[in-house]
Amino acid sequence: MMALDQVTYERGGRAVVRDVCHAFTAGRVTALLGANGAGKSSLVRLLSGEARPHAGRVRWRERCLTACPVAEMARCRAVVSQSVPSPFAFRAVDLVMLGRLPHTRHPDRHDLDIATEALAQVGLSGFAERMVDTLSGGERQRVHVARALAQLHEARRKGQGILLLDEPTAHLDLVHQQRILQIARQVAAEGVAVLVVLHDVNLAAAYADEVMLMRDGRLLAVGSVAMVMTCPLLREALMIDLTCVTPEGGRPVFVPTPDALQPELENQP
Amino acid sequence: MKSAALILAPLDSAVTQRRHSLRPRGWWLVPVLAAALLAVLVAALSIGALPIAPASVVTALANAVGFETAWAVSEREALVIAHIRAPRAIMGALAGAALAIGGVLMQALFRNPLADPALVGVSSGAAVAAAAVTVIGSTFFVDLGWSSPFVLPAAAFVGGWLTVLLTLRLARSAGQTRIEQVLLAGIAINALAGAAIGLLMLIADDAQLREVAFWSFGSLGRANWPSIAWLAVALLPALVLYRLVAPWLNALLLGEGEAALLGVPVERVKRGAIIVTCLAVGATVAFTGLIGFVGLVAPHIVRLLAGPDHRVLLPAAGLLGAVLLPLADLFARTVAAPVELPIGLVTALLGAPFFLFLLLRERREIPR
Repeated sequence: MMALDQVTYERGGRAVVRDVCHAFTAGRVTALLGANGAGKSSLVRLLSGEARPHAGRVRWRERCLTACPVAEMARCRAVVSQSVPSPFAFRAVDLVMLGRLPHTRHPDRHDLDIATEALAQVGLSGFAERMVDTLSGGERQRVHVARALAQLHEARRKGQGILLLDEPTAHLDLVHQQRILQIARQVAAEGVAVLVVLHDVNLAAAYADEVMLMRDGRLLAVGSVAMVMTCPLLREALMIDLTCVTPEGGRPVFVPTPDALQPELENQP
Repeated sequence: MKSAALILAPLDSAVTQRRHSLRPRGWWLVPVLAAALLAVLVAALSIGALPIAPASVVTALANAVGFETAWAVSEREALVIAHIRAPRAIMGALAGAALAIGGVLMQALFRNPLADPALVGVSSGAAVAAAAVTVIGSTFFVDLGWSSPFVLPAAAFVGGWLTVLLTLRLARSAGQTRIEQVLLAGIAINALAGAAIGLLMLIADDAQLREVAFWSFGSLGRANWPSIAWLAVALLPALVLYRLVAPWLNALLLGEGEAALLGVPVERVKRGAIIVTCLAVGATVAFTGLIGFVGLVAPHIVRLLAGPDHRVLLPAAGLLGAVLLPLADLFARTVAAPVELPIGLVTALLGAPFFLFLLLRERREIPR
């Protein structure tokens, strides 16, 4: 699947991703956690090919990503970016149909069924004919997730491909936060590698198979929820004291410790 | 471990799913506009100093392609149609289509509904070349002059293209055409071209000055069959490629980065769209002079009626341009007959207030 080999990426002369190594595995949901400016979005941009590493390589099935044609990658990799401009009068279904573009230039009934199904999966069946610019931020976000689902339809059938979600829950209410991550789990169960950038440690703890913690561009820790999501590691990555409350036999739940902010860590360059 | 078994209410059931239409929104506009184009062409052929009955027009057209009809057409009428009105109307339709398609392509590339082919310098480059040929050419190379009807169009076409190539060269860095750089380079080059035309007008004599002014307002008066053939050839790539690029242009509305993630060969589409535009608009400007507002108004009206889907927008705007320009020409040559107004003046006089009306109406619909 997709892998990072000692990848370094600079922006404005500063390394925002430093020496990161990781291989993404099919069938797993990987949560990427880190404070603002830790390099999460840059890492997603490296994986999506929008940014090229200054050192190291991004690999897709033993090939360097730069050597993979965009048209081929579009069939097995879908990206939902943090903010996609959509201030135009497209219907939601048209936007989802754009996800079929890598597969066919002239979509038929089959493609339309895939798009309709994708919209239903994100809970927007009734919104298909609505103009995108009349939707709320959260609904629009879900339309873009539906577009990614339609894009990966074949990859999901074949059990290959990668889905990159950059803060997909940012504009969503509680129900849809859970729903999007359930979809992520479902897509992973079909054999797709899923990377989700999250700020909510509890969503990560509840849904991820694997957690990556980033700080200052470095990969601080990576591993299972039980291994990585410990209060000391989270404190180091997120610069906040958390108390872990693990329900009987369940996944850990974290709450900020009273007076959790670490004054010594604020305003550091 | 599936501890995440949160109970969520089912949001949609398969039963409530509606079947959506595969046809793009507003597809009906294309056949409607095609019919309107036919009507306008017949009107343009029948109205004028010598009124010709629509039946006679249809007969003349049928005869021209080897059919007989029940109606008769006099020889004089047939001559007027074949040599004066038909070239003019068809030239108008082709020029209108070229300007509107160029407008759509530039608006898609710049992701701005106010973009215009003139932005990349094709019009101003053509104008400089035309002014130079008119002013300097006729001074130094008298024999080139107006004896050959193709000197001016050829010069304008080459001038337009050189300017576009210069703009693109300036906007290219590291193998990528940066669209915002195209805009900036285009603005600078347009300013430079304006200054060059000003200089040329300073040294021009009265007749040349009128010639330059006339050209810069546009006219279909010099339409003839050979120039129509050239223009049709220049429009061909746009007609052949539109089905291919329309879905890509839709993806480009999301931004270049998103389009690339959807497998769109962004760089090729950008360069291709600019080349197709400059071919079509360059040839139009070369034969008709500068005709403004069609490239802006036609796509805008179609967007209001059918939305921004390029599978409809491209053909419908092309057809609407092909309807509007012969209409404007009809107005230009009948409103103050026998005096003929420059068509660019008409499109600006009618187009600008209409455009303002549309903008005001939109503003009322969307309270901010």
